[in-house]
Amino acid sequence: MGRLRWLEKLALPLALFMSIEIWIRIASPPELTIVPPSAWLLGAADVVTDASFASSLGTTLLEITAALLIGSLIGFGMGLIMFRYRLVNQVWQPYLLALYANPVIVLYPMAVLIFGLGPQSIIAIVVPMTVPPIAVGTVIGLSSISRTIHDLGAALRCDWRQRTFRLRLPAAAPIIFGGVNVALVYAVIGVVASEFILANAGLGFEIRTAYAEFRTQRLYALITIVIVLSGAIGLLSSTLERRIRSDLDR
Amino acid sequence: MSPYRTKAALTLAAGHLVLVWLPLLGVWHAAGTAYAAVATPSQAVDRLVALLAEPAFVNDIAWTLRTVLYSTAIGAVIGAIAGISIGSNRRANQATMPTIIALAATPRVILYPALLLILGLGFWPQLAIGVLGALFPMLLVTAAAARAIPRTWRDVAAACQTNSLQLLGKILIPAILPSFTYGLRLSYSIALVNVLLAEMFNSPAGLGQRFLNATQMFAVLDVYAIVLSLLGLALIGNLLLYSIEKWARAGTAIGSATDGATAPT
Repeated sequence: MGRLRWLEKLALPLALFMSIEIWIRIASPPELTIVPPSAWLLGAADVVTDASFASSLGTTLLEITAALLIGSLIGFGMGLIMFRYRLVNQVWQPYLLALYANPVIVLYPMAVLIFGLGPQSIIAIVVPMTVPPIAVGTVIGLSSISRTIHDLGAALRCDWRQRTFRLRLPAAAPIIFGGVNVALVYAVIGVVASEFILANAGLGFEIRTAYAEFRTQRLYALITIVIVLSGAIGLLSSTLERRIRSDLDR
Repeated sequence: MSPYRTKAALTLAAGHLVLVWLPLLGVWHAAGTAYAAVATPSQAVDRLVALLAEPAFVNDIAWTLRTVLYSTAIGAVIGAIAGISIGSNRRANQATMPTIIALAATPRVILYPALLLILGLGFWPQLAIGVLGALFPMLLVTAAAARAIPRTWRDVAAACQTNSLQLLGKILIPAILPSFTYGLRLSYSIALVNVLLAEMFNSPAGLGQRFLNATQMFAVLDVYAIVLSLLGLALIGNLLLYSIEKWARAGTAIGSATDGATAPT
């Protein structure tokens, strides 16, 4: 049964893949516009082995990690302040929620104008994208801790620091982690999209270059690689989050 | 209004001022005076007013807005139909959701160069990238809403021998409407982001193309005036759609399924 489920889940991507392959074989559009999916995979194998790819991947991963780390620190700090002061929470929350489906990324050229071309501009624009889910996750996590845990803290006569670090934060961790997961997906999208618009390194930049140089097979190979990588990250983070949620409900 | 509520409202208003707007405008103004690469808020507003009098600028806004509205409409319809069909069928839901979640987490704007090669320069590839942006949030939100319809409702409908038209009008649409309006707001925001990014990559017109040009020519005042117009487009659209969303939520007993999993491009 388990194996059958996996086959079912693979059916949609395989069908997409096959129908494009068949369409190209039959209609044979000019090779400059699109190559068949089998060529995307062959191209991807080529791309992965060349030296410039490793350094591009490294740049992209570095930017994602840096933006996520800085965003987590800021978001977590904001979440703590919002949890402690009701008024701050009331004021900040609508702005954070408005930033959720955020157009922040389109302001990227402005960051380039201020910080110049390079990872610093990309990190500067992606950090504000990662902050809202983490800040909101922290507040919701801390506010939804069960009454029993507070009572336990009181019964054991814990001081404020013990209550925060030994009781509240561990209890809130799963929901905060959910926020970090969402932020990770945003960071991947933000970094690749920024590199794609204006940059001198990274996977998005490689895609732009392949397009500009009319290297069609390389273009499709790179798009495939980025979609598989980011899709896998997104799927992994949503699976992890669902697991944690179901553990919490138990 | 009771004195207590007046005081609470005043405190909240003061909070917005002190905790958000004063620091934001203060930092912006200070940066604008200190750095050549930053315009002050008042300079940006002045420049925007001047730009709005130029037909070429208004045409760029119209170009972008047209693409965004068309792609929101098309993406929302396709997304809602797919979402409702997938969400109301357990098997289809299990089989397709992983792929949909994975695709929703990808930076879909990177497909733009491929769309340019296939569809040629101009309006069509931009529409396609906007539709790809608008589609997924709507699909995820409506699928979640369809999944959340209680089994009992369907059983009651079957017991009452409702035909499929009645099932649609009496159960499916009322149950999904709040989520649909929420999805519409997300679809608009994400279509806007995708279309603007595509315009920055390569476009004959539009705000995105104008924005990138202004950056590359170091036209600082223009950059900040365009930023204001972009934020204006995002804000006005969101507020309009939010009022529809509030109306839809007020009309039904169930709340909107504010399921996360919406990515910004």
